[in-house]
Amino acid sequence: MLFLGWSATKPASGVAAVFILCNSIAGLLGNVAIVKALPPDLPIYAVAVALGAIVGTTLVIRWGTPMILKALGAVLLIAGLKLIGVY
Amino acid sequence: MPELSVLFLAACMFFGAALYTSVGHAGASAYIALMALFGVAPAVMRPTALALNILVAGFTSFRYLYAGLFRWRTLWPFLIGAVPFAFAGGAIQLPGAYYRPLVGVVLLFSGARLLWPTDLTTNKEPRDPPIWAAFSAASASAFCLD
Repeated sequence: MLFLGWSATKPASGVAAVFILCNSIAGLLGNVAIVKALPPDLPIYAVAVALGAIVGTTLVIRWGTPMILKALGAVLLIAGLKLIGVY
Repeated sequence: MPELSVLFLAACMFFGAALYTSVGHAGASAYIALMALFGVAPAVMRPTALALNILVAGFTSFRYLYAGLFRWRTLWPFLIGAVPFAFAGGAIQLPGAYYRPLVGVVLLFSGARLLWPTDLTTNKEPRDPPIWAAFSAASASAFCLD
């Protein structure tokens, strides 16, 4: 969206969030059996990521676009390294 | 009292979630990377990451929607292209030997471009995505990368 000029930077974050939510739910409905493998420590992880989400979204809503683009660059590098098998 | 490694992993996930949600993502790839580093069983990693992803994406969507940082016209062509294939991708496993490295390299170049200290010129005057292009891109990525 950003490289092709299909969205301004901040609304792209909102569009991506709803897109990921819908796809994650669809992925879960496609294989509901995997919920049996959820670990007992899940509530601890859930609290941690929820707090992280509060921090991350607050930074974007209150701060400017350059920080978003740099953070997105870091996220894409991490995801890219995973896909080429670095971890 | 949870084990120390669980608390360390949770602390790392906190930072992962903060970074990813700042760009509207939910952090699944970061959670998987961290769980791999901490030696979590592979069978547990995918459902855990998916559950955390849904939680974080739900909260993040609410925050951005409430802040007015959302545009339905931009989203819907991507959504109708991706959701059916994400459902199918959850039910089957495709051989990822070819497409994963290819997409990985594209993401590495994209990430490097965003970190490069030169402004993007294309998103200063954004226009709506062509429906066919957004639909096609979303279909392919959702099916292959789920």
